[in-house]
Amino acid sequence: MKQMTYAEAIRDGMRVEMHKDPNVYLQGEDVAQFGGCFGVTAGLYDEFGPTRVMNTPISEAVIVGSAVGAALAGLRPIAEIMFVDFMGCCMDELFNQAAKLRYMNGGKCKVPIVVRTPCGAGMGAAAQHSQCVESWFTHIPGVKTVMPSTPADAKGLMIAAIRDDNPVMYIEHKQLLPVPGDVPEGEYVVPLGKADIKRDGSDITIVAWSWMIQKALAAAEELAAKGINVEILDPRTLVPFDKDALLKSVAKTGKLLIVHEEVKTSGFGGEIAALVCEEGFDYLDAPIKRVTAPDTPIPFAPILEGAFIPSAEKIIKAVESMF
Amino acid sequence: MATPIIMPKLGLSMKTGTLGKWLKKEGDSVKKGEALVEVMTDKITNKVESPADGTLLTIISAKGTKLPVGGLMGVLGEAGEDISAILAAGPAAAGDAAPAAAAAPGGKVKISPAARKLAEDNGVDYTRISGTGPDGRITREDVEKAIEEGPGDERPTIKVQPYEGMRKAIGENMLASWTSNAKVTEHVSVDMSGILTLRKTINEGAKDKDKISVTALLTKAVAKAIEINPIVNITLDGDEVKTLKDINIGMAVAVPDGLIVPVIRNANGKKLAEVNAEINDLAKRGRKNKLEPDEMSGATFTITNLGGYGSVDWFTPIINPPESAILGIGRTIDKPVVVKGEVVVRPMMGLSLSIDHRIIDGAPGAEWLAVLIKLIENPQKIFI
Repeated sequence: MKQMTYAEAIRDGMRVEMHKDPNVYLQGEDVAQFGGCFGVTAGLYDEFGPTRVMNTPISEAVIVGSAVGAALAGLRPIAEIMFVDFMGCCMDELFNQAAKLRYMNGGKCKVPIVVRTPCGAGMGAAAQHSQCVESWFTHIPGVKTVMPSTPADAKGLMIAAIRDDNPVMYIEHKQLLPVPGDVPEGEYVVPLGKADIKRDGSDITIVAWSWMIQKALAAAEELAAKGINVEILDPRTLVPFDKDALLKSVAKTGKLLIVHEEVKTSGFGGEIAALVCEEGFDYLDAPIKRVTAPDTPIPFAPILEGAFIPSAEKIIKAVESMF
Repeated sequence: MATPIIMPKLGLSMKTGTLGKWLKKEGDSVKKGEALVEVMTDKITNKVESPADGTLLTIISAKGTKLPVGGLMGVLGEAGEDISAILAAGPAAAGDAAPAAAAAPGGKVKISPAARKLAEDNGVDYTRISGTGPDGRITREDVEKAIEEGPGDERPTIKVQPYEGMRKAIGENMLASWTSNAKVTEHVSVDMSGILTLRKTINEGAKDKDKISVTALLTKAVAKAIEINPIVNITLDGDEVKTLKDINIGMAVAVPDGLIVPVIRNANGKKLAEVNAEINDLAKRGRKNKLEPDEMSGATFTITNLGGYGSVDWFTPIINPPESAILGIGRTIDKPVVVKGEVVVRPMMGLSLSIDHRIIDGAPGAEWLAVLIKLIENPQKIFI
C-alpha cells in the first residue's frame, strides 16, 4: 500500500501499463511536458518520451479519431479530453466509430481505447466545464463507462480499462483529483463490472458513484447518529453494471436511494430505478427515490452552483422521508 | 385562490379528529357546501363541507389519519394552481397519530412490494394490517409484526365493519365505566296510570307536534326527584364527592351506528313544553348526526329508555362517568296489581336505577327511587 492522491493513482495505473505494454500510449491536449490541464499526466513525458506521450492539436475529433485508428492498427491508446463537456466535439468518433467497428466487422478488429476525461462541478467553472454526462455514454452499446470514487479504485480501474479490448470512457472527477488514499502498488486491477460496498448497512441502500460517494458517506454518518444504518453501494462502472450486487443490497435493506451529480431527467439513476423495478420489485419496501442535480445548466454564481450540487443535507432529507 | 381544507373544531372540547371516508376524489370539481370528507371525533361523525367552489386538488391525509384541529386534510383550488405554500405548511399530524389502515385515495391499500410479497407468501391478509410507513404505507416490518401476532379470526363473515369512531368511543367508554365503578342496579315497577291520564288531558286538542311525550313527563319527574333528593346527582372528583348544582339530564338516543346522549340542561327549571320540544329536537337532529358535540356533554344524570321496544321490563344500565347514576326505563304493560286489597289491572312500567356504590349506597338509592315513584304515581307533584 502506498498513500497517493486520486490523480497520482490514475497516473500510477497508466504508468504500470505503459511499462508493461509498449503498445500503450497517451495523447491529448498538453498532456506531455505540461502534464495535462489538471496535472494528472505530470512526469509521464519524461519517463516514456515523445512517442508514448503526445500532445495533440486542439481538436477532440482528432484526439479520439486518431486513437480509434491507432487502436485498429494494434495500439492501445489513452486519449485525454480536457473536460467531459467537450465530448460533444468527438461524439461521432466515439459512438459511431469506436463503439461499432468491432461489431460491424464481426469481431475481426478491436478498438481498445481509453478516453480519459474529468467531469463535475464545484470549482466555479460554469455551465460548459462542470457537467456530469455519464449517461450520454451508458446509452451507447459497445462503450464501457468507468467512474472511480477513490484513489485505489482509480488505479485498479485504469489498469482494467487499458487492458479491455473495447472503448472505455474513464471519467475522473475534478473534486476527487487531490483526495488521498491507500493504493496497492504494482499491477492492481479492479475488474470492470464489479461494485464495491463503500459502507455496510442494513436499513437503506444508497447507490452513488464518483464524488457523490463522499456526499453519501457524510450523510450516512449523520444518519447513523439518528439510528438509520445506511449501506452505500458504489457500482464503480456504470457499464457494465453490477446488478447482482445492487439487487443483493436492496434485498437486504428494502429501500433504495440513488444519488448522482447528473441532472435528473434521463440520468443513469432512472436506469437503475427501472432495473430494480424489473428485477427486484418484491424487495422494495418503499418507493425508490433520487437525489440529483436539477434539470438546469450549471450556474456560474458560487451560491447557485452550491445549491445545484446534491448535498449531504439533501441526501439526509431524502432518506428520512423514506422511513 | 387555493384554500386549505383543515380539520374543523366541532366543539369546545375537541382537540383532534380522525379522517373518515373521502367523499370526493382528487381532481373532482366541487361546489361550495358539498360534503368533502367525513371526520370522526369520539362523539360524532360529521361531514366537512367545501369552503368554496373549486377542484379538490390534492388529498393530504388519508382515511384513518388523526389530525389536530386545524391540521391540513387537503387543498381546494383551481386546476394547475400553485399550492406549494399550503403544502409547505404540512399536514400537522398529531404527535400520537394512530397508524391507520392505509387506504389510498381510490380505495387501494398502500403497501410496499416487499410487504405485499411477504404477506402473500405467508398467507397474511394485508388489508387488515395498519401501515406505519410514510403516508400510512404498509411496510415489510408491519407484515413481519402481523405474522408474529398470528392470524386474526378468519371465520366466514357476512359483514365486516370497522371498530372506529363512535362505535369505538362507545365501546371504550362502556368498558371504562364497567371497570372503574362499583355498579349496583335496583329494580322496581311503577304504576303509570297517573302519568298516562295526565298526558291524555294535556294533549287533548293539541297539535301533533306539540303533544307531550311520556319521555318528557318522565324527564321532568326525574329532574324534580333530583331537586328533592340530589343524592344521585353527585360525582367523584379525586378525593372529593361533589353534589352538583345543575340538573342536566342526558337522554340516550339510539342512532343507526350506535348511541348518543344529548343533554337537556337544567331540566328542573324548564317548563314541560320546553323540555318536550327540546327532547324532540335533540333526538331528531341526533338521529341525523347533526348535533354539536357540546350538546352531548355535561349531563349529570342519564335516562336510558328501552320501553318503546315492548320487550324489556328491567335491565342493568351502565353508568356514564363522571355521572354516578343512570335510570333505565322498561316497557309499560298492563299487569295485575293489588290496590287497597283488590287485584286490579294497571299499566306498570319497569325502572332500573344503576348507581355507583363507591359513593351511593343501596339505601340512599332506594330512598331516591321512592321519591321518584311518588312523583310518577302522583304526577301533579312534579309541578309544585
